[in-house]
Amino acid sequence: MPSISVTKPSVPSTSTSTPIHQKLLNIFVSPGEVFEEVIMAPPRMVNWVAPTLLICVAGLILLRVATSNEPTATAISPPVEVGAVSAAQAEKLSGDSQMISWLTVCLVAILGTLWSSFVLWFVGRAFLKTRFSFLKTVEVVGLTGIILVLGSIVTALLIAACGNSAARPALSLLASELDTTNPIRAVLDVLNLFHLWTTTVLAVGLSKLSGVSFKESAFWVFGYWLLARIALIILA
Amino acid sequence: MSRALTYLWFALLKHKVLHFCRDLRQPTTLIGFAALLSLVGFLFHNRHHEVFAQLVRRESLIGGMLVMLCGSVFKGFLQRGLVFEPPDVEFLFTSPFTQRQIVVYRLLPNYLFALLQGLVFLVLFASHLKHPLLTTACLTFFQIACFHVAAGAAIVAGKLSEQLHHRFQWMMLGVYFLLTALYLRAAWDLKIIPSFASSPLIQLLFYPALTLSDTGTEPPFREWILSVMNTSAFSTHQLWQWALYPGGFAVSAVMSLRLLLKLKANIFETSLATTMRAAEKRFRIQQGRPAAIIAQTSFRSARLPQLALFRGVGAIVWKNLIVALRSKRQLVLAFVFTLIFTAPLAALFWLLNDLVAKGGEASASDVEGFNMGVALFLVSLAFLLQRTFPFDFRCDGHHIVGFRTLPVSPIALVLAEITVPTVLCLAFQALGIAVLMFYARFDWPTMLLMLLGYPAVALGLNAAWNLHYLLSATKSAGGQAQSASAVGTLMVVALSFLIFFPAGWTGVQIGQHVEGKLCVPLAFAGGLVIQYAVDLLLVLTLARVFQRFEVSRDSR
Repeated sequence: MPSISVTKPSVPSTSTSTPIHQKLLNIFVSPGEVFEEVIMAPPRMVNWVAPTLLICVAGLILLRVATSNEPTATAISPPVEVGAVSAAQAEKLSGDSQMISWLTVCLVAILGTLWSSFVLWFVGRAFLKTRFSFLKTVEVVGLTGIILVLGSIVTALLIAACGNSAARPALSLLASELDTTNPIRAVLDVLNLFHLWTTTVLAVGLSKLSGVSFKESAFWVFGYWLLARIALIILA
Repeated sequence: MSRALTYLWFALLKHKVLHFCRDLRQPTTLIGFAALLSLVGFLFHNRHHEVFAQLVRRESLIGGMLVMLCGSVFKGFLQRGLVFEPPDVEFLFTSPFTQRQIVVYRLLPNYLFALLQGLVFLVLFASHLKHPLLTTACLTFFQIACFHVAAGAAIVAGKLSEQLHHRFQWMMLGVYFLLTALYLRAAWDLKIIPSFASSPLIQLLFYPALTLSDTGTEPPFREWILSVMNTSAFSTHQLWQWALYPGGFAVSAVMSLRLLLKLKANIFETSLATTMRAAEKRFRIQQGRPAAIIAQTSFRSARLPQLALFRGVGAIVWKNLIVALRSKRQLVLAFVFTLIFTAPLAALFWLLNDLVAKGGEASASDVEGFNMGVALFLVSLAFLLQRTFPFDFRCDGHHIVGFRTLPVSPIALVLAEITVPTVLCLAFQALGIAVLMFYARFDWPTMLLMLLGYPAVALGLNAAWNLHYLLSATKSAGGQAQSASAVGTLMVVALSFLIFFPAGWTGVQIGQHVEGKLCVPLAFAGGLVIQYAVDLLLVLTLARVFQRFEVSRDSR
């Protein structure tokens, strides 16, 4: 007989709820407590909108730093030299390309939050046989995104320090001589400190949302965000 | 191991062998045994064929071992407790035997199976192996270890709660999928994951564990070919091989047994429940009912039908239709079957169109012939579909006596019973045709053939399987031995093919004796007429058997 655990959010007084900036900071030190509070409180849009905006900003900074070493103009210089594209056209092309990159980063931040929430919600529903609110899942994923903000800043600093746009706070840093197209390098890139941290926090979030043990939720979250990713790189 | 239990096992084994030999006097059992012997004989006769060499390639053996091991774990896990014979439960659990002794007693038949399997393997594959005895010994020990693992998994799973068991089941399936993908890629260079799965776009699915600056760039990933199979870690020295391989497998068998016997779980309660479930399942299969016990689900009451078609004997059609609509699992399964059949055919059509578009030569008669072949191939879908839709006598086993009291003729009732599965078979075949129509244009003779031929085949198949079921049910009600065995099923499968022989034979004869343009249409027409005549005979026989059912019931 399938038993279904349902998260029943009680409605605490709004005066006791932690402000968003404290929640974002607490994610780094005690994500479990933050998630518990979020799950018990009524849905609040700011819980996922604020970190998503921060991700957009951090992403734009990182993109700026990453492309400063190898500007887009470098990529379109050969056509300019050949004469296929005029200098004015090249300048415009470079500006458009940058704009598209910025828009992509913002779009990825919003769609990514929703997609990851769906994955967590689906895992809970289908594999863990528990029911919890999708909106709460969006909040949990949104708050987890603050680690991505920190990761983006650290990555930007690392790129600036190394002068290499492919530098990442990952194991690939130890194998910088490997080509960026090398699948081993790609796998080492996946073993990124901040990716692992984010995945762990997502596992904590799923554990709190579904009420299952951390080990069980970690199996699914690490299975998807880490193993499946590596498997795709290796097998595809 | 208790000597008493060993004696008991030998005594029961002897009894089973004698019982089996006595059963060989029954034609159905004899035919089944003869079929099995024929198969073994055929395999033995062709044992030097290249196919056998392929089966004992290193890659195949590793794949087989993976299947055995993972299958054992999963089977044991699903079992949730050791299965015993019901009399064994009553005797063993109340007798002064330790848990270890009972577990080993339960494993004795498995050891015998492993030995026999090893012998069969040796006989069939010896000519293709460098060290046949060594490999056979390894296989036997590995099979034994797998049995230990299965028993351990069954005992451990028996302790888990229902919900936890469900979760672990999904975890195992996930791991198995990953293992399968890895094995296929490494051993056979088969990619079940398409290459675009490694593209940067797919990496976005792992948000927020990604680097945002990567979203603007496109690092191309090259294929990473695993060279696991090329590594040869073991020494080829003869002595080492003889010592190391069987030694390793023997140690794994012993260690797994040791671990199994060290399990602290109480097997009695879980085994009792599992044994009861297995006995219930066996009983259901013997009765011709589905083996799976479907969880009770509350359905809304359906509105009464307005159509006159569903009045009188049509009410049975309506009832079966409601049952079919509520059986989502069967419908999904049928859809999957249809998809499996249709997708490759659609791909073939697409390929044909592509080749023609690129300037390939194909005459109109070739294309027509190809279309006709596809249409004939799709007929075989009915063989799978009719087993998926048992919404006829097979579903109404308990109500057959009640149906006899209805004021309707047996023929009308038989037709009403087989209407729903027949119509559903045709509906799913029509779905397949509709999909194929996107890629192919069937000419009107082919369409006509499908329109007239598919119902004849579906009707014949459903009638044959219902006949089998009714005969079993009649015997069962008359207190005779039930024939819903594997052999009986084999025979009815053979019968379901044989009912098309007269039509096929007639078609071929007409085709050989008539010349000109009318040859093919006349052959098909003749075949169809004969097939409908056979269908009519089957329906009449069904009605006759249905009438006899009451007599058998009364005489009980």
